[in-house]
Order: sequence, then C-alpha cells, then structure tokens
Amino acid sequence: MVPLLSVRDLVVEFDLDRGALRAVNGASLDVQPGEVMAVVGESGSGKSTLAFSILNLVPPPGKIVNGEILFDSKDVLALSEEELRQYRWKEVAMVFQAAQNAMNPVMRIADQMVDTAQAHGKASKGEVLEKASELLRMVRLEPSQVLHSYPHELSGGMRQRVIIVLSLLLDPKMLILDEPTTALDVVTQAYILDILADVREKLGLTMMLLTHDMSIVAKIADRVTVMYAGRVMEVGKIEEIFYDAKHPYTIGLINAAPSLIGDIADKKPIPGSPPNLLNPPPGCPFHPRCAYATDRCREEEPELKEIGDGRLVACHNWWLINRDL
Amino acid sequence: MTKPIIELKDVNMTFKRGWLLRRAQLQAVVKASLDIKEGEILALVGESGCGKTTLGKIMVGLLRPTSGQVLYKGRDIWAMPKGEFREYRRNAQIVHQDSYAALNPVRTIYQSLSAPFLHYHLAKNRREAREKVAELLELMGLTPPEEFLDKYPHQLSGGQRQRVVLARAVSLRPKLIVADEPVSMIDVSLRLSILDLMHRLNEEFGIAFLYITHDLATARYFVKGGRIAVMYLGQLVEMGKLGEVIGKPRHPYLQALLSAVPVPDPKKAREKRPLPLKSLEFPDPTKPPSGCRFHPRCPYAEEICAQEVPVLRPLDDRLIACHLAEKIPEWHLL
Amino acid sequence: MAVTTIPAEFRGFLRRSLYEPFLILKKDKRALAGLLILLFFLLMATIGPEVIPLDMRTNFAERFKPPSRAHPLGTDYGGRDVLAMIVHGSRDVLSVAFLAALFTSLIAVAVGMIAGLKGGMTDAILSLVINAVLSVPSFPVMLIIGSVFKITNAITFGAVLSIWSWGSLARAVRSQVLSLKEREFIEAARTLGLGTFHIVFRELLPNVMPYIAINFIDTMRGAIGASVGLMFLGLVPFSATNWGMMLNFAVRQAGAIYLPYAMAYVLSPMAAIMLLELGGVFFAHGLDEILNPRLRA
Repeated sequence: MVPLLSVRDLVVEFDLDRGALRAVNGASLDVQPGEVMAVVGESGSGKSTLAFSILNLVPPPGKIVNGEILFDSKDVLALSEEELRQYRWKEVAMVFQAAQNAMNPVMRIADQMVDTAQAHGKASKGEVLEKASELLRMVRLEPSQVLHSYPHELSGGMRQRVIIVLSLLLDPKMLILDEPTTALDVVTQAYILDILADVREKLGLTMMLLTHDMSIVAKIADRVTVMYAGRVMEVGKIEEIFYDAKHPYTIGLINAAPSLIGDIADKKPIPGSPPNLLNPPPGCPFHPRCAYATDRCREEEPELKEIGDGRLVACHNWWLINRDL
Repeated sequence: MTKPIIELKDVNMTFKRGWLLRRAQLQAVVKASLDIKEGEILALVGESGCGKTTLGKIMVGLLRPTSGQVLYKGRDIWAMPKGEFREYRRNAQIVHQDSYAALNPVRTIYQSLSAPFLHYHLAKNRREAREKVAELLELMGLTPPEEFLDKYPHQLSGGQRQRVVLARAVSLRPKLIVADEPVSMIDVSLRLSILDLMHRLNEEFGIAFLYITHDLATARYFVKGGRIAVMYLGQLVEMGKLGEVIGKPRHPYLQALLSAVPVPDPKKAREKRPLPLKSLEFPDPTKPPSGCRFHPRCPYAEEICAQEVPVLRPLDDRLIACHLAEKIPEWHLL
Repeated sequence: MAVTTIPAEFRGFLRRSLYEPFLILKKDKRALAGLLILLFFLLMATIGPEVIPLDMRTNFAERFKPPSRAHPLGTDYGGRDVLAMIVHGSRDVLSVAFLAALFTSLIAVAVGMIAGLKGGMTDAILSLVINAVLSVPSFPVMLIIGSVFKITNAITFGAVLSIWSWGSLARAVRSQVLSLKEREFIEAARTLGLGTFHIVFRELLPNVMPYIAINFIDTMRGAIGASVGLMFLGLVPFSATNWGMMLNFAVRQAGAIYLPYAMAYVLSPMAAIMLLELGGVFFAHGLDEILNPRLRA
C-alpha cells in the first residue's frame, strides 16, 4: 500500500542564542490511508514539531534543514505559498493542543466556521453552515444550540468538539490531533475518543494522534510510533507495541504508566532525566537511561531498521531485550 | 487504632464573587467530613472543579471554612492560641502541582530551602544551613547537591523542581503533607519515581499524605493499602479502602468514572464500555443541582435524590453518600 | 563537604553578581554602552568639578562664542565656559535627581506593598490616595509645597520633588504584589510559617526590585524637569549651572536660539539631559536581564 503520508530523515533545528537545538533529528515515518497512527513521546520527543513540519508551519526560529515529506505523493516542502494554502486544511488539518481555548472569544461559532472555510477557498455562507451542521451532528452536538453561541458559553468538551468540526470543514484526508484530551475530565475524554472513532469510520479519515498517554493510545490507535529526543525509536501495530515491544524506551514507557488493573509491582519509572536537546549525548540518545546500554550504544547512533512487516526498531541490541527483566 | 492527625467536621466553603447586583456564590465544598490518621495515605479523587484543591487548602489552614471545624490532634485550629497554631502550621505542609510557580523565581534553591531552617533556628549559621540543605537534597535524590544549591528554579528540569518543592515541604518533618496533583505536570516516565520518593518519606518519617488527583491510576499506585475518597462537585460521595472501593465501586459516579478511565492495554481498553450517563455536561458550579448534586446525570436517580442532600454513611466496608446505595447494581472493574 | 563552606558560597555569589552580569553586558552592546554613559556621568559629577575649574565671572566680550579649543562647548550669554558649567552643574543636578528618585521609590514601594498585601479597607483607602496623587497635577502641588517649606539643600529639594510623583510607580508595585500574593510560593511560605516580615522582604521585594530599578533613571529624568520648573519660579535657590536652568536661560532669556553660532550653548544642556536619559534607557535593558535570573538562563 502506498502510504498517505511519508516522512523521511526529517531534521528541524531551532536557532537559539545558546546554540542550535535539534527538535527533530532524523525522523522517518509512514501513515497508511484510513489508519489511526499514534505518535507517542514525552517532552523533548519532537512530536509536535514533527506535526508542524507536516503542515510546513514550523515557527521561527525553527527551520526544516533536511528531509522529505510526501503527502499523497506530493512533495510538501516544495509547495509554493499558494499551493500550501490549498494543502493546509483541505488535505491535512490539525487540532492544536488546548485549541479549545484559542477560539476567538468575540465571534459566534457560526462566524468562525464561515471565516475558516472561506479563508481556504470560495464557499457561500449557506454551504459552509450546512456542512458545519452535518459535522456537528456527527460529533453529537445540536447545531441550533451551538452555532449561535460564543465559545465561553460552551463547556470544555463542547468546545473541543467544535474545534474538531472546524478542522473537518474542508474534507481533509488526514487529521492531526495534538493531545486532544488533556484539559478534559475523564468522562468527557472517553466520550471524545468514542466520537473520534465514529468520525473516522463515517468519513474514512486518516488520523495522526500525538500524545504521551499510553492509555489513550491503547484505546484508539491502530499503529504506534514511539519518539525520543527527536528520533523515531520504534514503530509497530498496537498489539505488537503493547505486548511485544522491542525498544527499551517503549518497554520503559509502558512499565511506567500506572494502570487501574494489573499488578502495581510491575510498574516502575525510567531512571534518569529527559534528554538535553542542546547538548545531546553521543550515540543513542536514550543510552544514559537504558539498562541494556553497551559501549556501542554510547558511540554509534542506531539506525531505524525494519525487522518485520511495517515493524521498525532503532536499537543495537533489540533482539537481546527481555521484557520481563 | 491510631488517632487522627487532621479531622474535618461538616466543613463548608462558600466563595462569594461579584459586586452588588452580579453577586454569585460558589459552594466549593459541601458538608465534608473526613479524617487522616497518623502515617496514613488518603487519596482525594475527583475531576477538575470538584473542590478537592479547596479541601486540601482548608486542611493546611490556607483557607478558613465558612462553617465546620478543622481539628488538629483534636483541637480546632481556628480557635487555637498563636503558639499552638504555629505548631500546627509546622506540621501541615502543601506540595503544589506547578513546581515552577511554587518556587520564588528570583531566589536560588539554597535560599528557598534554607529559609525554614534559619527561621526556626534549626541551623545556627549559614554554614550549618548549607549543610542541612545539602543533606535534604541528597535525601530527595538530587545528587550531587552542589549542582543544585546555587541554581535558580528555571535552570532545573520539571522533575528536579518538584523534588525541590517536596524537599521544602519535608524540611520541617511535618505530620501531614497535602500533595495537590504533584505529578501531573511531570513527564510520564518520571512520575512513578516522584511517587516512590513520597512513599519512602511516608514509610521512613511517618508523614501522612493527602494525595489529591484526578488520575485514578496514579492514586492506585501511590495509595496502595490506604484509603480513597471521591468528590463530585463539592460533595464527598464515597470513601473507603482503595482496593475495595476501586474493585467494587458502589456510587454511580465512581462507577461511571472507572468505566471511562482508559487502561494501557489494547484488549482491555477496547472491551470497556462507558456507563451511560444521562448527561455529559458538568453543571455550573454556581448553580448546582438541588439535593444530590449528581442526580441530573445519574441513571438511577429517583425523586428523593433531587430533594435531599445525601450524607456519607457507612455501608458494608465503606462510607457512601447516596440515598439508593443499596439498590445500585453491582459493577466490577474487570 | 566542599560545597557547604562559606568560601564556596561566596564564590558562587561573586559569580552571580559580577561575572555573569559582565558576560551579559559583553553580549548586549547597547546595555554596555548605557552603562558606560552612566559611569561617565557619575565620574563627571564626582571628580569632574575637581578636574575642570569653573570661573563664573562674566566677560561679555566673550559671550556666545562657538566651540573652540579654549571653550569646547562655547560660552554662554555671560562669556562663561559652557563645558565647565555643565560639569559643575552635574553634581547638583544628579544628586537632587537621585535623591528624588530614591524617595519616590521608597514611598511607592511602601504604599504599593501595603495596599497590595493588606487588601480590604486598607487597600481601598490607599488606592484612593494613589488615584488622588495621580489625578492632581504634580507640578502645582510641588509649587505649593515648595513655597511653604523652604528648600535649602539637595535632600529637601529631593523630598519636595518626590512628594507627589510616586503615584504610577506605587500603582505598578501594587498590581505586581496583588498577583504575586496568590502565587504558590507565597502559599508555601505561609504554610512554613515564615512570617510576614520574611514574605515581604525576602520573597516579594526581590520580585519587585527589578521594576523599580529599571524605572529609576526615568524617575530621575522627571525630577530634573521638575527641578527646573521650581528653580525658574524662584522657589529654589537659583543656580546658574543647573542644566535645566541653563537651557531655560539660553532659550528664553538670552535669546541664544536666534544666534546660530551660539548653538553649542543651547544644545549642550539639552544634550547632557538627553545623553543621561539615553544611557539609562540602554542600560535598563541589560539591567532587566541582570536582575531577572529567568532571562539569564
């Protein structure tokens, strides 16, 4: 299958006073059409920067210094300004982190919908509102109630659903969601995830979900990409990642995520601290915290190797790792 | 049977907002009664806006309740003479969620941590204070301490900062620490190490903890054999030993909550179906529902639920605030 | 343990207060320029008068002379050397302005902090006072006070200048304190029982100081301007070397602006005031970075 999105060797650097910071350091990933790809990583993993790069929206002083991004066989980084305007929101749309709080507080929802749609192409107000109503019903909101309201009149959960509708207005092929449920309570979170699964089925949407929460990943993802220090560490199907993880960081993440079920004693944190992106250690970026690190890990950067169908690991010693250790 | 360190009796907290015509009242805590025994760990769980932070602040004396009593070792803290109150103060500390806001940005780590030692004359001079602070940092796993003493808060990582905040709370060896979402702003891979540290402090120094969080999974990890109390919109709805309450929740809100919490296991995560609630929306805290505040969303609600406020009463092995507790169908977390 | 010795701490302290600021200034050329300008004026005020003699005898034959080797900034209406006058005047001007800014800052911090911390009725009353001070124009008030209380020396002069000028600074301090008061680190200080004194002087004040320090030079400039006015109206002993006075005379009394070759006489006091202000503004930027550890990273 030809992937809908293909990123190869992406490098994004931020030029700061104290030096150059590599937010993304050679990341590659594929997203197949119709799937939900979860990109998992903590602070400093580079997942948000990766998402911005896909839309070519990296804010200065950030710059894409290397790499290739192909969407639907189009070279995204080579698109002109005008072509980018056609690409953004019409082919790929993004729901930003805490976007529910970033809506214009003095504009009614209906107006924000029309504004957004018309900014990316010609459409009549009636057409936009009709589409918006259809989508609102899909996310289980009542259009008559929501369209005439201001953002502050809606609850957090409702606002988040409105943002999702805003992103789907122009029928994008792919939707990127950055931590879509962080500010919401648990019950609403479960509801939103259900709705996302619904929407994806009804619209045949491809989704890329950025999160640090393994529990959310377990609920909704088809495949998982694990990132650390700007690099991709492991890729695989959801069962492969959770029940048969190969990379020590992935294993560590799963063991460090407390759960309502299972033995508490199995859970343990990952020692050490998050990576220093200004002055990264040589070799594998995870080696200071890895229980299996060898000399080779401290000197040589591991390559992302394919070890099965769509199964990728970036670790020198992956076949030696025993999960129960 | 150990004595309770802190007891809250029928505590109410009402905040008044607005002026004259636009006055609004927010009852953040409604008739809350609970106690924490020496060396105990109690988790206070609820969604954001349910009043758990307010309850925590009442417990450390940062807020004075509108009515009800706060007892420290059996004595009402708001009726205490100054000297006794000072002793209570020393023994009830707070750890905040945002470690960045919890430290003075223009003071070094040493300056922030040495203040209590110097103030209470636990260190006679600067040299002693520096030694004591270094010891404290080592206890918190911040080694070598030299690296941290003269740094400013923004020069530390989130996890390190939270350890400093914890260090400060522990410095006077208090009897109780109220930890308000201590790990929510920390990377997932590091959360357990902070919780493990807190557990060690509980075991080594007998410090009781009130662990406030919305994350049931970390509550389960931290509390272990302790108790858990669940809050909804200012009311305590269920309280009891963690294993029993989570394994067999009896209050409909807790059942709904547990059914909605995702687990990091794909097979199990996809099996769970959320409990159907009548409404998804959280009521406006300034216009709360009458009687049991959960009744508009409760699938089992009857007339009495809208009329009378249920109080925490014993039922089998726990306390529950529900008029129909006996009739609620059983629900097991797997 | 090596770290806990006082020498180690002292080294750390020196590092933070001398070495790191030095590095910041090296990088921020503008701030460095500002510091040099301010140091220049400081030197001028302290040792300048010893280096350059002042001769206040009039010599009308030499009046309004353009700049020359004998008179680098020309001469005034009385044939006196402008440069010497500027240098000698700097001492009084700067000391009065400094004192005025100092008193203003002290009053503003005291009022702003008490209002912000106490809240309630105290805050309401003090805010009313602050608003009164801000709405009633300061100059007429200074005139009244200046005519009632004799201004005899720099200190009284500074006091009179400061008595009605602390309003906006106090308001800024008050709002900063209001926001800081609710911050978690203040709550922690309260639960630790560290006491009001500690909270005010060790926690809040260090957060408020950067703002005060940065506005200091600006407050000084306002004082210079006001001092000219008071001097002009005869409420202060007349001083021919006060820059503001010099400027006023040059423009109004001596008609020097109509004489192109007396440009130096007109522009010199103006330039001195502007240069001082420029130095302050440039340095303020670096000062913010020095005083606010967060910006140093």
